[in-house]
Amino acid sequence: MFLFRFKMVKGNKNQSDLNELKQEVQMDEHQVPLEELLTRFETNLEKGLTTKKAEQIYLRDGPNALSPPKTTPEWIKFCKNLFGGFALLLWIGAILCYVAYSVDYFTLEHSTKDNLYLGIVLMTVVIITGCFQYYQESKSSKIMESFKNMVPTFALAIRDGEKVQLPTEKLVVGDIVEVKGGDRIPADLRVIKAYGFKVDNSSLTGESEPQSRSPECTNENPLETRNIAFFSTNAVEGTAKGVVIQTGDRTVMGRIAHLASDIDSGMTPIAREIEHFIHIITGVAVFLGATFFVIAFVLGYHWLTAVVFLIGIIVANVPEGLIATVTVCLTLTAKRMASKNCLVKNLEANLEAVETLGSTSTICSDKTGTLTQNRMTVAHIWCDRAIETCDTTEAFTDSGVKYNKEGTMASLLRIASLCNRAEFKPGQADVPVHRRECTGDASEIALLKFTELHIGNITQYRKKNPKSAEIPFNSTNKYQVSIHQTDDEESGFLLVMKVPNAVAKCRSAGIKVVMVTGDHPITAKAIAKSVGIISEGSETVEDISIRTGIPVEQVDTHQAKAAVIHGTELREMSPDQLYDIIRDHDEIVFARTSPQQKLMIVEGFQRQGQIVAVTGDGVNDSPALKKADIGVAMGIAGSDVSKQAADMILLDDNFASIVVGVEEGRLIFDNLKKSIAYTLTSNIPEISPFLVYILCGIPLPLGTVTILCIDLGTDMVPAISLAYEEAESDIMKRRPRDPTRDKLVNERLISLAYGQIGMIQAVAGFFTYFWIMADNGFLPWNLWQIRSEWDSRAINNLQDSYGQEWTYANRKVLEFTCHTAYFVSIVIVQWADLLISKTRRNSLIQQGMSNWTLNFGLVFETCLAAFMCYCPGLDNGLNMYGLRFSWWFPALPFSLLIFIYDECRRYCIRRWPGGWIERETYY
Amino acid sequence: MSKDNKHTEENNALMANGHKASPKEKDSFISFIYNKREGTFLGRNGKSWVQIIVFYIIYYIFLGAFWLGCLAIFLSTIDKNLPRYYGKGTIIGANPGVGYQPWLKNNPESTLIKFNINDNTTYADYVGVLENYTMKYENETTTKLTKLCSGSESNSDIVKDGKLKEEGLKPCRFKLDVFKASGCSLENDFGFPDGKPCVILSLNRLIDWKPEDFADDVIPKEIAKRYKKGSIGFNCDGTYGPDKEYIGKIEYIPEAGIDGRFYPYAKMDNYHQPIAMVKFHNLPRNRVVLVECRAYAGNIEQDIETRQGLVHFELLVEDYEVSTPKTNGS
Repeated sequence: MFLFRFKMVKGNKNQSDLNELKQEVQMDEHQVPLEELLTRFETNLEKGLTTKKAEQIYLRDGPNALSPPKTTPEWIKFCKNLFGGFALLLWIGAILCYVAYSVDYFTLEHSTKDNLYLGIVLMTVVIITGCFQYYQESKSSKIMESFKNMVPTFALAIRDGEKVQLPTEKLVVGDIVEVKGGDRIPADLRVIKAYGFKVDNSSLTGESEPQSRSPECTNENPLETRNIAFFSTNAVEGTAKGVVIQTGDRTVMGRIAHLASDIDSGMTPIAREIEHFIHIITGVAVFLGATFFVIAFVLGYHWLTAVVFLIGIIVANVPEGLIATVTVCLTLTAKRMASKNCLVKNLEANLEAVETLGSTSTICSDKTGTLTQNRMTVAHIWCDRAIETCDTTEAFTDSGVKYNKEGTMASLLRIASLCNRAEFKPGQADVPVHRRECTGDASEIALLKFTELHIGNITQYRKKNPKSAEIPFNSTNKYQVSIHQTDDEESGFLLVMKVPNAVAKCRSAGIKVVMVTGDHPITAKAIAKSVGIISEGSETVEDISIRTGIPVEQVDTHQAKAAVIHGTELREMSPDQLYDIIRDHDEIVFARTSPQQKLMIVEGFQRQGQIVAVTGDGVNDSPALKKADIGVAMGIAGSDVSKQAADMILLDDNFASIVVGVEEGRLIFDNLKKSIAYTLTSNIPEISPFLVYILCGIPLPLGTVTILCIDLGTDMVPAISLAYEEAESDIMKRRPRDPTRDKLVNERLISLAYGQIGMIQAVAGFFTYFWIMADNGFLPWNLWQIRSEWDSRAINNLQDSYGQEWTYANRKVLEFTCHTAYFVSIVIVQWADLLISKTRRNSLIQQGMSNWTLNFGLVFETCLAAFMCYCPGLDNGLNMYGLRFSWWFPALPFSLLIFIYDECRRYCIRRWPGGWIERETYY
Repeated sequence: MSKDNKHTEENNALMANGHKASPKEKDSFISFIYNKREGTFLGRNGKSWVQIIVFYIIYYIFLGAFWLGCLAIFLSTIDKNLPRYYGKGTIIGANPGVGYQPWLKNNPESTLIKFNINDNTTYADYVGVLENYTMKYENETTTKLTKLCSGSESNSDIVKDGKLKEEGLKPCRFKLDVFKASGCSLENDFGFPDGKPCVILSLNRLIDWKPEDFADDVIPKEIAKRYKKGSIGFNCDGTYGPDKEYIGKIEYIPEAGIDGRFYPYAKMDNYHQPIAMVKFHNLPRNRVVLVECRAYAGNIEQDIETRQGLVHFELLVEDYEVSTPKTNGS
């Protein structure tokens, strides 16, 4: 009988599901006599199952593999993409178009197909963007799929009395299998025979020490008993024969994997940000739409005209291309990170993980291996109350060292060599010791290498001092005893490693690095110190007490910057106490923690509003990985389950890759802001024509289709190119963003984009519009309230300011020419907007123009605009007409104004940090 | 906007330190709108509101001034008497459209002329529009500024390159006598009470455009009988088969259409736009007739798509008794 206990936060909606999973599971296979078990499974110890029987059971139980976590059905995913966010608004717009068209069609004799076309265009836009997003998602999940299926495994089973190699998926309950050191346990096994068989349960329980397995039942608890080997753990050494007692999802591992898949990891920060932003924009769109719908009624417009206004306002308000832009930006960054060994796994739009990493404020790194790249070296020896430094260079091969080989030192070396299960892989006699490949735990390997250097030929030394008995290390005993012909004693030694300065980099970036490990507190603390998790000069409560002589209980906890928390202490702590500890200490090491406690720790940090990244490789880590804002699994050492629970995979298992990830994440967050600021700005010149059209009755300056040309055409490439922008300053030297205060889209961004730059763009557009109207005979003051006549097909002779009379068709050509010119002037002011969006603080002179994608974007949007303007046939399709050369330039002074204004604004921000300008306009 | 703005407002610091545990206070929407404790309205306190409003006022004043400045500079380059682009190759082009009257401003989308001969209120609007339209030709103050043209005199004499040769030159006067003679004047309410309505046709004014004559062998058959050199001929007919059947007799006033001497047009205060009228003599009662009128000259092309060189309108003459309520609809 066993029970996994996970502390869940109160009010978690998944609590009931979890409770179900947490139910007690009957398991007696390890206790019943072997004979009975074999009878139960109708199997035979020598001959195994018959093929026929095995097939029957296979049909009954299904394959022996973990079923992938419940995924949303494809069609739901597709629908989410199709109807989520802005898409819904656009659908409404499209439906209104059809309504307007059909009403027109049935009531007017001269019904135009404009509304029908617009409806089709809108629908196409929604469907294409939806498909694009869906494609992005499914493409990335396919990468993940292939990643998962990389290594097929086989098991040696006995069927019909013969040994056969079977894919592990084919194993069934009752199969007799043989495993040997190095194999992965193919299913939950009851051990029948064992020869020096040891398994590494670390992926299940977090214990790093291999444990021996034998046929005897030693404990009621199936996790503790020795005669069970668990699915997906690794056999370290020896051989064993066992009978399969559970397969697939019914294995212990399978159950934990399911538990992990049911913990709601919540929305990623950027998903929250984007939702927040969609809410704002939707709110503005609905508000403006409704207001002007009413105003149109009050002004006496026909309801159908009011509906057309509504469509226009919706289309103008929604940045159609933005979601696609964001997706592309994130994908680009994800690719860039993958090339730096950070594989972003983006099942179900987890793409945002990239950015989440950027906002990370705490990293819980569990494995010392992660921090040390699994390469530890003995660097210091603490012996006879003195610390000696060792040479850790790889070239160091001298074994005739000057250590005092007497006394304490001798026993230390002896223990280090004997009480150690790491071994050199054979055939490496010529390889320098430091480079030899070994089997075993990282710390033991370090010791092995150390003793090999100082004693020499450990293999032989061990043979001389054979092991007679051993109590392996486990987290309950917290010590390891091995009895050799020489006797055993406990000594202190510490070792440690050369670590990349990744931790230091994290710290300068304001990220708390917390170590959560199963190691002994002393080891853990030492590692923490050497890798910089506990920085030089920081003291724990214990350190203070030793230094000052005050008893531990009386030391003011606020004086201690660092803390080492033992798993047993943690067990007795209330969530509030944990909260206090997390708040009061900057440098925390959790030692001897059980896998369950990891989840608690992660939750503790999250309660403080921190964004937590967790690294882990074992199955036992998966709940914590899942719970974390971003779970980072190890690509090499990680178990399948942990990879599944994680959002990101470090292909090289290197902690430094996380730092790369953080850097990229922060950069993309900054760049997304710029990109959004750029895209949103053009919303104002898109909306204002409709408002002025309704309020002043001038002919419409910008059409709905033209708006789509901007949002989905000319604005796209420049917006994406901002993702390639280089950082303005050292982004790793500032604090992580505060998710509640530093929003992706905040009111400063809106104020700048809508209230300032957008307004300049709008007046630029209107200037161009009046320019062209006047050039053709309509002076600005004559356009006032001309709308009803202008738009009436009945009037074939509308007078302009010179008394010339215009047919309806000619007026419309003029109007569409104005649309085109307005469109072109938006492109021209967007040049300036793109240049000012490159930086949020620096001058363009400081930033430079080395972003060639962006430079390409400038050229591209101009060429695209020229193409749309002059391509024959587009006058009918898009209502775009060729412009006279001079009509390209009216917006230029405004473009210049934008550039100068914003340079001044940014100068003020730099000149008066914290000043009013910065507080109101720095987004 | 969201409730989170409050926080953002409180601390606009560039990178807020995540270490501070944020006090868990209820950011209810109400307290966002007005927070008594902090004296903030919509997340800003009084001073902050004043600052931002003043900033935006100044900003928009400057922006408005810049815009008006640009516009003023641009408009100063515009000739008040001649648009920069006109004539062939420009948007307005050199192929005039045709206009008609009466057209009601309060129902701008409609080209239907619908009236009941027994009810003068149904056509009073139309008569009013026509009266208004024709008034300018008889208005003393404007007629004084025109001259009677005879012989070869025409507006070509006073217009050069789209502009009046000099201020004060008088254009030709257009006279309504011919219409009066044919029963198309206010005296008989333009024929409406008899169910024989007169409709005004005009050619769109285009600067620098004047009609060209048809060569003798290419005069369209529709106007061949009535055609006179130097004029713009008109021909009206039903738009579709049935309309052609029902439209009945049409009288063109004057026969030859519009005299070409009133062209070309140039911007002036007192231009008399020449018109022609068509009188429909026996329209069917209580039945809509779709009418298409085309203008003919050597340099007019008719295009149904763009309505150049032609115009469409509908006529519906009713003869219900006024006293009986119209139960069977129209």
